[in-house]
Amino acid sequence: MKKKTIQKEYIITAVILLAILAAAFVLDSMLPSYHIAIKVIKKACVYSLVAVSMNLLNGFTGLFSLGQAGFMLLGAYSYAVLCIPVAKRAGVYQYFDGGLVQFSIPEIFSGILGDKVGTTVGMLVALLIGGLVAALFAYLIGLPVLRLKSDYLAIATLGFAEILRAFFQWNALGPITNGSNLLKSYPDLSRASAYIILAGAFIACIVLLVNSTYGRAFKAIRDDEVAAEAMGINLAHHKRLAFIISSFFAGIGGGMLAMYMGAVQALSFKSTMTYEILLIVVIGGIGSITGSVLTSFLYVASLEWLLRGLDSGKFLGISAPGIFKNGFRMAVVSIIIMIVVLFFRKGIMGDKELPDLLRKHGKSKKKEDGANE
Amino acid sequence: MSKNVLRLDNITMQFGGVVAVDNLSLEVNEGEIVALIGPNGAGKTTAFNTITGVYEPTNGMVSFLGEPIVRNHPQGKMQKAYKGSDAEKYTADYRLEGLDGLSEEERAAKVEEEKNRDRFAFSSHVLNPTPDKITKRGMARTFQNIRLWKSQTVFDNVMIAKHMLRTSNVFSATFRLNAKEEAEQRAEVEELLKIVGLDDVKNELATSLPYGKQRRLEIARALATNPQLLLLDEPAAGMNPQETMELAAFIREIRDKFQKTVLLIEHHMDLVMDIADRIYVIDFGKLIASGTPEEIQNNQRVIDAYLGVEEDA
Repeated sequence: MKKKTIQKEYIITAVILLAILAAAFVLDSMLPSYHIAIKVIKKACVYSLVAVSMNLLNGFTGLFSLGQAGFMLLGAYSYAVLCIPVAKRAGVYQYFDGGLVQFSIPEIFSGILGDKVGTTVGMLVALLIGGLVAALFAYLIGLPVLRLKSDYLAIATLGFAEILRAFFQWNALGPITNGSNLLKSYPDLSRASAYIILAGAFIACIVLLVNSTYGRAFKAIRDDEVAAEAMGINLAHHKRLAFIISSFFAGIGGGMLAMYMGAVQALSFKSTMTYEILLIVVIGGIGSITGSVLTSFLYVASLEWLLRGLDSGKFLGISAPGIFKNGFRMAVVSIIIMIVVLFFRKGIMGDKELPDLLRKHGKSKKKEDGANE
Repeated sequence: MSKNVLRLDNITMQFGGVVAVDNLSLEVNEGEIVALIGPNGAGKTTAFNTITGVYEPTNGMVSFLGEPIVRNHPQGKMQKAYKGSDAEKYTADYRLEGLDGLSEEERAAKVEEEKNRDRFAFSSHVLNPTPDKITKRGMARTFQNIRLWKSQTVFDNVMIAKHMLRTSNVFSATFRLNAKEEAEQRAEVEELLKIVGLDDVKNELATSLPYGKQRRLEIARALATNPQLLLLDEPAAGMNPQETMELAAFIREIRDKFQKTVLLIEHHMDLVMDIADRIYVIDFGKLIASGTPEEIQNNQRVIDAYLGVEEDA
């Protein structure tokens, strides 16, 4: 009996997720790719993935790290550098004689698998390489940095991200990173549903990890490090593991952000970006993947779309150019965030997930049934 | 003769000028329930933390199942700190009990055996493993102030302790290639919870349990790592007489049913006298007495340590 009800909640969850995907397909076919709704979905997908990766570290393992923008930068640059078509490299790297890298992964794969499939496969491979580059850096940075705790870890990782940003703009690296100039002209995915599938697949991996024996060990470290170590959990190994995996997915998120933006510049991966992600994680609920995803969509949609009117003079039919000026939108967003934090101390979702909500509903229903009998 | 499970040789733990544990040596044999008692601040928990790798001892060696697991001698790393001056004090002091009545040859053989057994101790190699490595060797502990994982259910608390026994890596665990192992571990945990009488509350949060059951859960969690030696740090602290009696029965059950060896720190004298086979008493870090409960009860030094000595009496 009990097993059946548990399964039911997961089926409902799956149905909800499939419905969202179907809606995205419909939107794709109805709206042009430059429509704001499509753009919002794409960006929210990227932010969801990065927020969930940050939640894995901050929410599930209890490591307060602020290096997310740095790892995204690595992923974004890896993707861009590996995907620019050979023919366009001379134009992109105009100050560096066409750059050092003289191949393009999507072109290599399209030579083998045909144009359409090959390009897509090549892009996915480039994304994964971006993730691996971020993971490699996480391993190296983690060796010294993971000895630190709480705030000190946050400062160290933040410093790493900032240094990396400056480093990538260094002219001597120009043949690879194009210095402080834009990397552009690489292929991207135009459909919103593609972003949903990609981000969804990677988030699903994180969900599986969190619910595995390793996920439980991570939570044990978060709850009580001393007890975890006394019960045979190797702290250094597990912390490093969480850090590397989180960075891997942040790197992939960075690659997807590069796709979404169409052009990459190190300048845009500021610590503000990390704070945005942190905000999403906190508002959504530290330790809730559903919360992170939901908040990513709410945050991106309201900031990029729904509240735009507050900056441009007209909002909800009210036309008040005197008040609704540039910057007013951010003031309103700040107030909304404060209200949310005041009323939802543990974030919108707390540490609950979508199936938990459905289960709760089912339980109370069952109780009512019992009362009727 | 029963097998030696745990053995401490000349364990000394200094914090700055304070000597929390001073030249403590003790033995725990297989199947025994041994108690370590002493007044507040005597260094009992410090001794526990040294055994389990939380602290690196200033000097001495801990052996588990005949193998050294924690080791620090002035000849090794500490030589620099001591500059050799006190080295004699800490190494020459080998326990050579029961030598009376032996012939000269037997005595020499025994001394040689003792030295051989610890020959690693005199190498410059220092052993200082982290607590998780010691737990993996088969020694699990509980804490004086309960340290359960608060956001986890009773079941998950025990399940997490099984994590160290897994054979899967992070990839196979994520993609559920370890489903068989996971199912086996789940079944084991279910079984264990049934035995310790917590299966009716297995889906509740660990912190929502009454105090006595939280203690019981902590012991169950330690048992889940399949240890040979169980270290209990004041398991009866804060319990009422009824709960204490149940605990005594439970600890005996652990020894008899699970075939575990138990070393416990305790303040409840009733409990200690009831269940312990042998007792070690320490005061100000020093071992002042050891023996059976009857011997300890009649030992004048123990009585003095607990009741205080009248000055100029």
